[in-house]
Amino acid sequence: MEHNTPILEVDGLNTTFHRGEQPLPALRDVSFSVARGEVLGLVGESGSGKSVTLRSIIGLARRYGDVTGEVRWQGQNLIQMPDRALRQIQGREIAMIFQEPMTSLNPLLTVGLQLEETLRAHTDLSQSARRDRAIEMLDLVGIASAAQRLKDYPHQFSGGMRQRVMIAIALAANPKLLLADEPTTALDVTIQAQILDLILRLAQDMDMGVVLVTHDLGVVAQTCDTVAVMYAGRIVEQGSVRDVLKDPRHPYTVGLMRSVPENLPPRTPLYSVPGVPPSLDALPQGCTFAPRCAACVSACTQDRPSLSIATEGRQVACFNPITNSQGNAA
Amino acid sequence: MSDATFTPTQPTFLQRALRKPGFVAGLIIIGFSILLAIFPGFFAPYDPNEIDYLAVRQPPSWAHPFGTDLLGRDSLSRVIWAYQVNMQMAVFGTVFALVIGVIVGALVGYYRGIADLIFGRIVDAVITFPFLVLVIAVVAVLGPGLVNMYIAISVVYWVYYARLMRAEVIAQMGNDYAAAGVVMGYSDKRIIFRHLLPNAITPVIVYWMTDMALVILLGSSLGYLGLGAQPPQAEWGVLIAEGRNFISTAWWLSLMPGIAIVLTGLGFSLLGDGLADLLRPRG
Amino acid sequence: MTTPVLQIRDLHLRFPLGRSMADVAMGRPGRVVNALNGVSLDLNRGETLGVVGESGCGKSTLARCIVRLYKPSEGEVCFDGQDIFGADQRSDRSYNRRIQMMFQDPYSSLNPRMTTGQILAEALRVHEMRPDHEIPARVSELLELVRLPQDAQHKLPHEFSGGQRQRIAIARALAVEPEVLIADELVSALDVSVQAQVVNLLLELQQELDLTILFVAHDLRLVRHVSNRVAVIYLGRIVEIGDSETLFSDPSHPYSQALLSAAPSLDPDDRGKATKLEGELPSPLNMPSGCPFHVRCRHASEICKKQVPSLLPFEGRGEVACHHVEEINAHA
Repeated sequence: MEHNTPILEVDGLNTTFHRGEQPLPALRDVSFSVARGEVLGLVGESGSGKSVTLRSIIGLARRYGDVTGEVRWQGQNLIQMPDRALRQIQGREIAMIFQEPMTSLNPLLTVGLQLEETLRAHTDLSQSARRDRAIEMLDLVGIASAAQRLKDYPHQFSGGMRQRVMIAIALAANPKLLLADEPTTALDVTIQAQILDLILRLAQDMDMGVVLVTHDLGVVAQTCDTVAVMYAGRIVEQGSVRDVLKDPRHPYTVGLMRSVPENLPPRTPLYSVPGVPPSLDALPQGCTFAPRCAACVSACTQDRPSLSIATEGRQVACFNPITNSQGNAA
Repeated sequence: MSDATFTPTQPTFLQRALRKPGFVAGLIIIGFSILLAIFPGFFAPYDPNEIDYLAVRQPPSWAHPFGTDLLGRDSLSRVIWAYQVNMQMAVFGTVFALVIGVIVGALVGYYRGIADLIFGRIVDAVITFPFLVLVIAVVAVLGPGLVNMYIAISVVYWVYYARLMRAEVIAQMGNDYAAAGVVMGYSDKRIIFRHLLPNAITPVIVYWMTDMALVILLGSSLGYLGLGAQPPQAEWGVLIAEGRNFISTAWWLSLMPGIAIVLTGLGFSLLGDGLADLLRPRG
Repeated sequence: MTTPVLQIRDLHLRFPLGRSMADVAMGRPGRVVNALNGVSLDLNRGETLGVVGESGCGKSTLARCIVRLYKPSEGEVCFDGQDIFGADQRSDRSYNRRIQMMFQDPYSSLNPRMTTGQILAEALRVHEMRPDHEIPARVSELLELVRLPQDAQHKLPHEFSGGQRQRIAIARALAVEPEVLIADELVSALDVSVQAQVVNLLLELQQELDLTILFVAHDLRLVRHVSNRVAVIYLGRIVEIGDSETLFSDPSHPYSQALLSAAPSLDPDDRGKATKLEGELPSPLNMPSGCPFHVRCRHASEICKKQVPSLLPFEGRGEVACHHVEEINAHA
């Protein structure tokens, strides 16, 4: 897929939380960009920093820690933007949806009211125009008899429908970028397929960029154009979904793909990367993956590899990357 | 095996407790109150009932830091001796309600069914009735005095503990460890008392602390009204009542026991707040 | 084939919701959640039977019926030929020893105020698995069995990771030396690499201890990997049951087909190939008449709206509950 110039450029993003005196480097040197109409997947295990990345971009992380680096959005750096100015962008230009739609909807207000509230905050529409837009949005996300359902409360919707409502609210103000934090993790597979389809369709129709955080490589394979694999707060590999999933270069990506039980003789031991991810307060000196890596060479324990271009459109942070489909055979 | 690393050892209960200034303050106030209650003779400078007609209603001085009352008794000594009565109230006014409430609440919460429906009606009946009026009614039937007051409070108050305990047990039963206990074939008794109760009791303990403060207040109120402790026994409510008519000329008579009530109440509240934090299970 | 260790016959479970004031006024009966609607199932000794379905389909309810956490409204569960809900069996605790369950949520299935050692020792002591003086040694053995270090004994649940807690839950279940293990979404709360470790452990223990496993999960890849046979549940009914490899490579029921096709493939080239299922799971409060799947099924006809299809053998591939199974699979 051809993409025009990026709308969001993240460059050298660092986020540090503090536990007592101790700094916890939650994100280090995260850089990527998203173009209009592009769906970027951020994939990794819990604690890899994929959610923190979204929260750092939209300014939710700054309340809990130090965020430095650059998040370029239409010529401005969001990291340095004051809270007031940032609020003009949150929800209006950049929207976010979360994993658990129930907790992000107010249970005491009707869905229609919550949709209208967003519209009042972010658009100049008149009251009747807001109502029309609210109906239009519910319709757009595939909720039947939208006009009547505006009067319903969140608990009157099923999990999948609630996530649709969340998407409707998030997209009501016509944002240019959608940050989606595990939007389908709480849903069943058949509903997940519907919601992912919906996000894809809307991204295309509204010419909107999407950053999709997930732990499911299958979701990445079926939904995203590009993917960034995260480990211990860093991006270790990124590129087009086809390249990365069909021919992973970073040993961690290879390990992650292999631990999914697919195309394996049944009831044989599953592969799992030895060891556990390092805790943020005790990161190894060199490459953060080195202690668990089978391809570890002496340089790996001393220096941290930075994300560098391996092939056309592909970046890998590794001194000894796995070459050509060796990963699938190993 | 690979995911077999551990988080570093956490600070002990005591270490965490000592980091909370509010909790430490509460602990000091209540600790000292208990000492005063157990050894009033050691702390009080005079005999609380020693009458001295030559020194009636003396304002605070070096010899009598809280002044003297209308019979020339040393107010400080009387306030200190009252600790014995009032701290006793805090214990006996709550402990029976606590024990009965915890047991009934745990059983009702675990078994539900008809017992729960009956319990629900009892709760409605007790809660819709003003508490003080209810206690006064019971005391009026039984007659004034401390023991009758304890009975009156316990008869009414176990319901509040039981209600809290029931709700907490039901919430805890939503956790799979309770279901796991059933699947393991453990007896109901074991599941209720060994598994659910220790996890459900925290809010009850916290409530107990504030309740002790409330019961001291209630006991003093009854004493003030002449329905609780009886003069000449030194009790804060009785002392305040004795000073009532002299509030403009001998203000210290009512003020000093009042301060004792406030301070003790504050101590219990601080202790309760601290415990609420400390007892919350982590992780 | 050996005789099944567990026989489930026509199991129904209805949860009454109680009548609202409006219901009473209108003389309507109280509403009822139909969680299980006639499930029949055999669990053979030594096998792993996978149970898959979407949330709310009744798979966890079925698991909880088997360990007597719920009492079914109708039907029976026989363990070694004896009805576990029969009058004399109700209070029999030896059943709880022979069949054990592991739960989904590693954060709530262990008592937060008991150390691992206490949790394991309690199980051993209550069922008198060992004389008192041998209990500490057995606790060590159990920790070894689930590959946890010995110092785990003195730690509280909150000091462990999710994967470690699930190991403790497995150790607790194994403490009473059961014959059958029910794993209800045992690994679904864990990261993939940890999932792999726990699943490997379970498979090893099954070999070592000769266990029969009922593996309830929504992750189709995992179920396919661990199971010998698989049952697909939809709205409290089994719609298809059969050999795992056959069912996954060539599902016969339209719901199984849609479910398997919805699981996102790891291959980006499969994009757009999935047959998408319209609509959502109907509420178990308003069960559709006839075949429970007919409202979402593109093959549905008049008969599907009226008559519940029974689970019948189909072309030697297992059993399928569908009126149109032959037509659907003829041109496939």
